[in-house]
Amino acid sequence: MSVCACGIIFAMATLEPGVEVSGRTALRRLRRAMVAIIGGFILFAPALPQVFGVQSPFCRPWIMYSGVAMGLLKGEFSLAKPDDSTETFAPLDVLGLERYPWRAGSGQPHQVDTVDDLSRAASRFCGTLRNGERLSFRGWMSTQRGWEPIEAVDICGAG
Amino acid sequence: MTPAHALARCADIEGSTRAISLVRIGLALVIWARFAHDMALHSNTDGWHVFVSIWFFVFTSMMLVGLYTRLAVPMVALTLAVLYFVFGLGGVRSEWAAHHIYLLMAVTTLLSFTPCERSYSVDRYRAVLLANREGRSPPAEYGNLWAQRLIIMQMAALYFWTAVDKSGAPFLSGDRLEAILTWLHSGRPLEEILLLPAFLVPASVAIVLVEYFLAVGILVRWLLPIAVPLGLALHASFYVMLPLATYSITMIVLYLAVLPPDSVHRVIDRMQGHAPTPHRL
Repeated sequence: MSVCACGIIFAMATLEPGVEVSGRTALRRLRRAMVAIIGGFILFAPALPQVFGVQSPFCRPWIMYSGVAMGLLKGEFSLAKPDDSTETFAPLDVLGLERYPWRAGSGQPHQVDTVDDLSRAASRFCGTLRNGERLSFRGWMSTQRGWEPIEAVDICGAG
Repeated sequence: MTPAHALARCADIEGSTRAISLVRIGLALVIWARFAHDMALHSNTDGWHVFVSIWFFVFTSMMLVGLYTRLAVPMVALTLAVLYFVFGLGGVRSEWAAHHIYLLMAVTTLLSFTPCERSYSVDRYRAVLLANREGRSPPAEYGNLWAQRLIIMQMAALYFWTAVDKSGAPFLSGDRLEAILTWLHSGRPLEEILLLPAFLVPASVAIVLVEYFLAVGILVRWLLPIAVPLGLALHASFYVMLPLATYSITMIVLYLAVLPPDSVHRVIDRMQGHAPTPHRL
């Protein structure tokens, strides 16, 4: 008796008045539940990694291209010669590249994250210098925070 | 509109299945463009790889032509999930953990819940033949499109959260876009133009504003005449300027899902020279 009463109360609480229980109603409710759950996940799951810093393989942050183009140089290399003349070079010239490789990821030979990396990146160019020639750089390096100033004197001597 | 009404509209929406069927065909081709080389038998390295390759090509082919579609599309979604979670995030093929792979996996999974077999498929052809034999009307190219609304929601979420990621000084100042274009276009013909400050700052701000707009615009019917061309132009420019693998072309294909389904149905009828028919045949 009490089970029947509970069943009737449950049915009255969950059914819209005048609508009979049917497969279509159940299907409609299931669809609405799925839309609510899946839609909520789609819309709000990226907040976990992007806002709260919680990493999960199931919550994808939409941060495309945020980690590429790091460690690039913008500015000028200056080569001071023993006769007090100066010659300037673009970063690609000193790095020995026609253009940057499209391979993404860190630790590539042309990437400069610190002042010390400059001598490594310019090592091939340094090998061509004559006695008394000093290579310096003044400009910026690309980071996630934008362009940050970087300056170094006698890069080849430091290497 | 209350949240309950919005939920009911999303979940109970019905319409023509032509657009979502074209999405099915487009996604199958995009999946081939991304994975066919890796899955081809000439790329196989062991027995398991052969099995995965055959499985991949069988079910993507079925998805493409719409044969046993309600089986094929979930199987392709499952395959992409394995490639993304097991091989991609598992570190075996880290490039398979990229955003464009996740997007393909997510929208193919959602496609599994759509009636994308009811148009432009072998399944429909067989259903029409059967109806003709039995002397009844062909089945309607019509169905419940709640999962198609979720695909649009996925696109909107992508636009919103990627705009959030860019909403900071490093990107809005033009610095990050300059670094990206320096990386891609140094030593190339357009370098001088693309690295002008007069281009970088407005372009950076415009990208973020457009992405925020599209996050809402593709969800609101009366904004579609602006949102759709703008979105297509955004992705077309990304496609030609940035190496984004299949991301841009995937989003372009998904705009078929954004368009009002019955409008797509009527336009196709007109293109084929038929008088406009009610969406229920």
